[in-house]
Amino acid sequence: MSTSSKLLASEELDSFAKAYVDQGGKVVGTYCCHLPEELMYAANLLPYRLRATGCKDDSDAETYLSSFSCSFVRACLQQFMDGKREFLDGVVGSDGCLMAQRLFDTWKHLYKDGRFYHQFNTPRVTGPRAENYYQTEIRELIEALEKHYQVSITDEKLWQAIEVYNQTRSLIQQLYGLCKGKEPRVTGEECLRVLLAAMSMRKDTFNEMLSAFLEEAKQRKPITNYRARLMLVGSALDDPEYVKLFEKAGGLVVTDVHCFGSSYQWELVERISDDPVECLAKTYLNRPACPRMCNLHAEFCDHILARAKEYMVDGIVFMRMKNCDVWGGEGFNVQEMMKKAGIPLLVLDREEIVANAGQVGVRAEAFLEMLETEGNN
Amino acid sequence: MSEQLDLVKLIADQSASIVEYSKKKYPDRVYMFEFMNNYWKDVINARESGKPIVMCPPNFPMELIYALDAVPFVLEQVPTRLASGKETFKYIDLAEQYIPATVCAMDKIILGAALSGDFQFTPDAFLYCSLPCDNARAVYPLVAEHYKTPTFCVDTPYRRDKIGYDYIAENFKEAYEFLQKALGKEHNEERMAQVIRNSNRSAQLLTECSKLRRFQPCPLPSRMTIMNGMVGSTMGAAYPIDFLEEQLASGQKTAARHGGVTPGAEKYRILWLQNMIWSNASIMDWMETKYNAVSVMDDFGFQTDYMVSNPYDMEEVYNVLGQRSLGYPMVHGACGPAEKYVEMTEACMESYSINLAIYAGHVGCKHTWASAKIISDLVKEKYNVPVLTFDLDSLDIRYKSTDEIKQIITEFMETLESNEKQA
Repeated sequence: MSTSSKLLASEELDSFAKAYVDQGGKVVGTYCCHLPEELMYAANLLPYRLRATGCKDDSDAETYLSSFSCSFVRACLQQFMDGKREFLDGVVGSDGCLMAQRLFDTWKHLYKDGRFYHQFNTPRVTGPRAENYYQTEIRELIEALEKHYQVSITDEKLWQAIEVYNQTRSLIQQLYGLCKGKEPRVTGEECLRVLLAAMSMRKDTFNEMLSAFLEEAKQRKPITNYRARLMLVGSALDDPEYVKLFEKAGGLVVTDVHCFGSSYQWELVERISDDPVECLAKTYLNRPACPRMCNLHAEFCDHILARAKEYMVDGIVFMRMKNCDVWGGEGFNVQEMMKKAGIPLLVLDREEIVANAGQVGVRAEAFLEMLETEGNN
Repeated sequence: MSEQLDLVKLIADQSASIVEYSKKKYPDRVYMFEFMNNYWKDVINARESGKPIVMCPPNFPMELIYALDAVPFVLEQVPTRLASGKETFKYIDLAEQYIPATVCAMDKIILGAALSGDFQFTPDAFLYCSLPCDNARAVYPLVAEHYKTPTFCVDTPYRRDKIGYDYIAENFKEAYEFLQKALGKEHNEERMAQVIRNSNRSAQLLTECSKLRRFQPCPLPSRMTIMNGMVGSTMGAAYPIDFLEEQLASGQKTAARHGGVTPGAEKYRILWLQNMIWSNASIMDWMETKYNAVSVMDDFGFQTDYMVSNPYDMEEVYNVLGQRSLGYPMVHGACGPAEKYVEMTEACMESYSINLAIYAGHVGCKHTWASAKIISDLVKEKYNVPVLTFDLDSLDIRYKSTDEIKQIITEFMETLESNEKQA
């Protein structure tokens, strides 16, 4: 199997985590892009981003989380209940949103088996006070990891981890760079598959594979047979098949703002002091990654707009996961801003388990047609 | 286009009418409705006199607003007050043009009412908190943006330890400084001290009333659990003290004669495990009469109390207000890690001799629904107490009507009684 094939085979990605365990390593589940993975990397662990790609039935999880919960979270829990996350040695829970919190709570409730559990809290505002609080949370997680795994997470190891992760971020930016401009080389579906791979393996391995992929992709012929350049914005999207629906209809997804896409790892951690924890806190807290941050709404919308312009987007698909309040509220701002900016927006409600692929395809087709008509006018 | 409504005046007028009506029909309940009426009178008077009005959520400490001689306008009071009627529909429908229908009706009504212009005033300052839920976190900033008035966000932490208390205390300190600047007011030590004395007294009385509900039979009516929910929105004012003193005196009198609130011997002592049925408080009266069932306590109303010992020590004031805020309904158990919700339920189950629990899950409260099974299983398995679980919209009677809810409860109670007979 070629490097590209391995990287794009989303269905097989857990094999990296399993192989890591077979080699004596430990894998820890994470949730939320405000959790600095560098801490786990520095502890020689594999941070594995929890997801539900491929889940077809979440009825067991619904018993616990109810039908009123976010279907992405339900499907993530279902993966646990189906035994598909047995390779995890622990989970670091996060209060990214309250639904994510309940995933962690329920997992802890169901599996009282001595694994590593840690509650990580990220402030919902920015500013010096929040950064101090966030630093405390980071230091406590370091302590907990050191105690449980009998490792020492030194500053030196943290700096090394930051360096590796910064390289990941640069490579991801290069990947998206191949969608930029008039001669894109990769599709949105491929980008998402690559990002899913990033969340599933040690970043040193991933960096090597992505570097090779980028070299290969640069040699490709430009993609020209598309009808419009699209941007996907909204709740968690870990399903490449969903992206495919838009690309099959003739759209090309050239960029995105969601936590399984470019929001996962993008902004480089800058060395603003000699304290790696301070540097991590500064970057992770201030990055425009999710509308959960209460005092960053304007900046977040500006970020979406800037990204749309940078990637010469013809239209935005705003995906609202059912029962995702955080993005549900942000939709108000995004719609207002895009209306003012004159960028067409398609609002789609979605569930993790896509039962209406045909309908989504029809909406995508209609949107593309509208974009073409507008473009011609 | 519908005519512009003066919503605040409408509610204030309704509240005044209820007081007048109850004087004739239910004289023993007048003090309850007077309390509600006083709150709305305060807002109307402020609006007319130009006294500063601050929009905020109920988990922000009202003391910091009263201390600056301003009036809090607690946005949640609007939906809960309108819950039983049809006035909410237009606000919900309006909000759903902008945000998903799955957002809590509480927040949809708030957003819809703000966008409609029916509040008919712009607040002098706007405050919100990052918790208790994602609904509020998503909608409050939208309302703030709509008014374009000076705004401050308090970051409510999950932690219930010294780090969490210090963090929220610092937030409140900054919020108070923000308010002084936004309202052009200066800190007045004596005024703050009086406000804190008032809120200490309210907190103490509320605790005593809660303790009284442990008596068997319960000497206070079920509906007081809903009424007491409003006290948090008035902490620091003087009038809730009258209400709570009268409530306590009434309960003590009933307890002294070993009396209860049911027509027959008290049979069921109910714990509500999720939200209260704001739209259908009369159901609680009906359950008292029909099944001799008293709603003794609810998971979202139960609070642990903290007192300020020195009202002139602002550091202590911020700290205690922080602890109170983290112990506020919804914030205390429901919004953070599920362990806190479990602890809250255990405390209620063990302190109030509960023999029946109801999980009337408000559909908008998705994160509490997501722990419904953990909580229900706990009650059933650890305490061997039956649990009735059903969904409703506490603020939109179109979702499930009073009759439908009564039918669900009837079927459950009949099954329960039938099982008891067979046992």
